Amino acid sequence: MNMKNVFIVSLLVFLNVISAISVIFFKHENKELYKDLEQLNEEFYSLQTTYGRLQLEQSAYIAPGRIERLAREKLEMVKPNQKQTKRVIVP
Amino acid sequence: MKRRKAKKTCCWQQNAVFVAVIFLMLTLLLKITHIIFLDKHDYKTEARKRQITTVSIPAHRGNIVDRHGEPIAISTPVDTIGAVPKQVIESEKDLSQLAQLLGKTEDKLKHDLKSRSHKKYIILKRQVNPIVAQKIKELKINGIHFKKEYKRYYLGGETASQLVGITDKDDEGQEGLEKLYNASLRGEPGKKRILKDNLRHTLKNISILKKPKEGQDIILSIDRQLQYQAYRDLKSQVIRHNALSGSIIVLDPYNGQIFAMASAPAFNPNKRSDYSPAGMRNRAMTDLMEPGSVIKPFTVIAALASNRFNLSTTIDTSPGIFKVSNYVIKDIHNNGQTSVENVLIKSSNIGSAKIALDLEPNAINTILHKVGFGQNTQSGFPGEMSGALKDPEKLSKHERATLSFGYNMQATLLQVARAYSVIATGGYLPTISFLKKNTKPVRVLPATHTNAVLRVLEKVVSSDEGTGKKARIAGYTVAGKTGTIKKYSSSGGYSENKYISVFAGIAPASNPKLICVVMINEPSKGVYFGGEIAAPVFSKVMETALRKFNISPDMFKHKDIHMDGSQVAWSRK
Repeated sequence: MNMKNVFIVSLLVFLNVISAISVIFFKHENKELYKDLEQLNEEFYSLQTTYGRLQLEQSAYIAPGRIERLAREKLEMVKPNQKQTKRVIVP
Repeated sequence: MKRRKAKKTCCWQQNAVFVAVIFLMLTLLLKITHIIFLDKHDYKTEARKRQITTVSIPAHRGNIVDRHGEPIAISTPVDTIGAVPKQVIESEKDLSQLAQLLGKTEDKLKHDLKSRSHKKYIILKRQVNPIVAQKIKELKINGIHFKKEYKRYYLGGETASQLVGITDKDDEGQEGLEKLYNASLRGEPGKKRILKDNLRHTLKNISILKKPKEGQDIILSIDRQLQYQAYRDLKSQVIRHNALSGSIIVLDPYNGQIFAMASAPAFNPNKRSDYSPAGMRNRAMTDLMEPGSVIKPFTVIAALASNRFNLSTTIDTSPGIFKVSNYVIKDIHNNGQTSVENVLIKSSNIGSAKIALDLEPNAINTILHKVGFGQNTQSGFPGEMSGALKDPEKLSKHERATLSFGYNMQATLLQVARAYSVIATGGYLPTISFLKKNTKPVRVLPATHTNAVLRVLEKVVSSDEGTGKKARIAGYTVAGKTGTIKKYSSSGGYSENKYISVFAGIAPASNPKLICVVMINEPSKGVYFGGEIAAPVFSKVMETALRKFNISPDMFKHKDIHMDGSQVAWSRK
């Protein structure tokens, strides 16, 4: 076996080892990232649940029926009649 | 000699290798036989413990929001609770708390589990509130599983129930706008591969095969607050007059955007047990009626277009009864000699019939066709009806006469609203839209005729002789027309005591911005005229709408104040 062949074989062995190590490394990396993704997905669902609940809550608070009831009963507001209304003309 | 020896050695080595290979193969065969026939149960058990399966990842359904971005329908994550019955029974845990959280009795839950214990997996309750699901998780009962799903919540409640519609248990649009825009709203569920055991526990996620595609949000033309007001006022009138049903539409006459569309009775879309076919019908689009006197303005437009009439042409309507080939047409009062203008103001059926009989046989039909009657509005709403206009050549003399005041034709309330847009806009027919988008109206009639009729319709409301006095709105000019229709009875002929009350109106009449049409079906407390029943609802809802859309009053009885503090007497624009 001449030197050239020895060199080629050694290089191939070396590359093979590198490739094997990279497979292990990236597989591990993939697993880790997937785990992160799963965690983030869980977090996303949980935040979405909270957001949905807050939207429902907000909607209940701003429901026109509730605002009207509060205005009439708590703040004792009334709709002004025409005599109480003045039109302001903005030049 | 040397060659023979080498040959011998060679044979010996070959034989050794051959025997070794045969031995290995036999060993393998033996092992395989052992696995297949003797160890199969052990291996099956092991295999069951770990299985790779593909499961779907739910996609978020798009939200439906109103024109200001306020949510009307939203989807939020919930849990569906499932169980492996055998395992739950074997866990021998106290199930009373679980039963309570699921809204069942303990006995019922135990019975459910036992009766279906042969099944691998059963669903105990779908779409459970996340807080309840969390409490169930904390019970840590073996064999109870949770699956993520989305649940639809309707924040408008019953006020927009028929318009927005509902989704089915699989989150697919089933009715209304949920069905119409299902393709955009639904999104596409994804897929992932997971490793799980025979108890359905996920051991590990392997890979995502397909990412879920989230559904798109839809921005409606509806104003949530106005929708509430319209529904509330309509419902209270339906209840007050003990009516069968009612509908209301508020519309932009220029671009056809629907601001509010409500029907009563309605249903609560958040409560499936509340669903009833009657409550789920969007009557403004799915129910046909003979529109009655609200058609008269179009008869007058046909009269003006014929050049045989102008608004002051006199028509003899005495003695208040008019016979057309064995059929009798009546007015409420004897209006005597009356002008075309007064035919509208006093809503004279005889005046209208006489105009119709004087015109070409297809004159009114042509106008009605131009303003969209007998044709689908192309809104695409599920179950929308097209209405019907009869072939003008097949109309008898009597049918021509009655068509002039809205009988012998069928229309939806939305078609009436769209036709009134033509009067409001000076001859343009809009494209109906539920989305906040601008569409271009099409000219169908000359402005001279529609504007002339608009001025008369203003008098229907403002004149003391007009039938629409109750539609007045303080500070604004209003144009409109009342309609009181006798209902066709199932036994044939028109009923003497069943009516439909309608009011179609435009405001402000000096510079039309909004159309509102109200229909109350079969009021049964003695009063039934459109001007008495439907007009007051119009007035209330339109007043709110004008204020809501910041439309300045055009008829102020009191003095205006300039910004510098000086007062000026009111003058109409």
